[in-house]
Amino acid sequence: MTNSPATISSKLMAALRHAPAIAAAGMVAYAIADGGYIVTVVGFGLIYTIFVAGLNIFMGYAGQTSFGQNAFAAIGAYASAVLTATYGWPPLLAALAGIVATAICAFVIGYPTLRLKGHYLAMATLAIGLIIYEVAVQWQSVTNGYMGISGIPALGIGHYELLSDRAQLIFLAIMAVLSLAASWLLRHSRFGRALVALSGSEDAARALGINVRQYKLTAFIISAIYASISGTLFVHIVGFISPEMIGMNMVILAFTMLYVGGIGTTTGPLIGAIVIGLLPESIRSFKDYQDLVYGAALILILIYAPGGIASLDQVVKKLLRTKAPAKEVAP
Amino acid sequence: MIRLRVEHLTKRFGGLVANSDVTFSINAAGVSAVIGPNGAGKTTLFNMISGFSPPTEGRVFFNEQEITGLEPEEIATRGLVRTFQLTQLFQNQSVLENVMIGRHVRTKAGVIGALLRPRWVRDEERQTEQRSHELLDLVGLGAQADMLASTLPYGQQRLLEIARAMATDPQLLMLDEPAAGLNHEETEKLSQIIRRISDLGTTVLLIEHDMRLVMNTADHIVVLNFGRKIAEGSPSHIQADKDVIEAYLGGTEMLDA
Ligand SMILES: Nc1ncnc2c1ncn2[C@@H]1O[C@H](COP(=O)(O)OP(=O)(O)O)[C@@H](O)[C@H]1O
Ligand SMILES: [Mg+2]
Repeated sequence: MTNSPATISSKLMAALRHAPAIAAAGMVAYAIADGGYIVTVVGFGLIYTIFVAGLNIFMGYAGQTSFGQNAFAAIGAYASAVLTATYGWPPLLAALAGIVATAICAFVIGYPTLRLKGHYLAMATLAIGLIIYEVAVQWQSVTNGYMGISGIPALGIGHYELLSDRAQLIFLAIMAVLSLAASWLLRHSRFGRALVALSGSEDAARALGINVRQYKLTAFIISAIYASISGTLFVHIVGFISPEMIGMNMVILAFTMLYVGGIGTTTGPLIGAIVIGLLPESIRSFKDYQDLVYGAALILILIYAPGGIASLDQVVKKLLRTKAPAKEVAP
Repeated sequence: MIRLRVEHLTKRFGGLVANSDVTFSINAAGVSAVIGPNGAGKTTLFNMISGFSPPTEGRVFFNEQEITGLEPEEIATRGLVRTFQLTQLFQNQSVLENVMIGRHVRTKAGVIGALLRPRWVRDEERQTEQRSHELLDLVGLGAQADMLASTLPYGQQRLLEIARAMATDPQLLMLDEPAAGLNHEETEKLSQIIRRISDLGTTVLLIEHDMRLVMNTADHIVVLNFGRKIAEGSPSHIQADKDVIEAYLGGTEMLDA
């Protein structure tokens, strides 16, 4: 191998491409090793990684819009909370019941709404999120209304429970890795190609024999299952659930993470969730301005790096190109 | 053998009649073309045949089976695949992935297959990739496989769209103005590619403005004017047709080209 400037810079670029994901993974490793207060923050980031990875399959791969993903996190969260805390089910069984319930709901909701396009679909999904929130508030006999449900046990199988913060964090990290791996496998398959196809041009996809409606619905259900799992993990880690925790703020946060991390990329959700998850720590003094900071971050990213942090290499490439006026270009 | 037969196809948009009582059939062998002035209703005809816009009246038969009113994806699965007048590539994907997407109807793997990757899925993926490379070679884009589709020059984008459609192993390939915006040399190359596709056993039906391409490539021509079929036959027959010459106002030179 020669070390010509070209190969060095292309190696640097390759390194840069993976750097954001590696840095985010490094942050998780640091939290596991450190075991201090950072564990809570990173754990929160990992739960959101799963939620956002699901959103990314529907929005990033399939190019659709959903403002109602909190609804599916809520179904997973409440199924787990009610079945374990009220009825004493084992967490794993409750989680599976939550996933099944979520998938059925996503099918019933998605089947009619996914015929809608663009703004209409977005509005319909927004309504779903608001409705589920109202249900969580009003269905007092099951959800305990605003008071919420507490005393949700830690995760565990049989007599084995994940009690220490560190054990929980390791478990969350494993779940996040599995979620991203599944996302990668889906993207790089016939299924994932059908999604990016309908995202690019529904007409072209249909002309090639892709059943656009069916693939949108499947992507919607998969993203809902991701949300359900994140909701389940959340209630078991926190031990408590109330309607406030599954409101629209979840959606705003997830959108920020998705775009900051890099929509459509496999590792973007991890990067975005860790960066945005850590942000409140670094801007503690601005606590009241949190939403403002999220908004500003989102706008800056959308303007200067539409590919998000995961596409940092593209931004650097563009900067280099504009900085160094092309010498090679012949007159 | 008759590949495609349309009977009394009519399409009305409100008061506007885009196609009126169009009847013709296309043989399985060879290259056929639909020509006619701008606005004659050629694209509308393609839309009706390929299921994108159901006919107001009339019927469509593909391999002697009726396909009138089927969804485009069903029609494509049966082996009738069309391209678009304005290229509809998947711009953010690589050239290779565009063609791989075209293999959709000839492959099977679903969500579970994607996640578990059993042997047959891995084999299918490998074959998909290999076949896609072959098709890129067919249209001369082998070297551009890893480029982003959006970075291809216009002429190559049109060829990529043909390779992608060919990935479905179509029995009938319908091309809507494939030479639009191509220079002379590119048109020449396109003509050769179309002939090769036909020789490999795929029926080709194209809409075209470029008379040189049509006269050099097509064996059979259908002429539309104001939504009606005004002539049909071999290139030499069409070139001599009085109605056709008239339709292309002062277009005699055009037909001679
Ligand atoms: N979706 C539509 N709605 C209304 N009018 C249309 C539509 N599509 C095509 N037309 C009209 O039908 C006529 C034929 O159009 P088209 O099939 O695109 O012609 P060509 O492809 O031969 O140039 C034109 O007058 C066009 O304006
Ligand atoms: Mg047209």
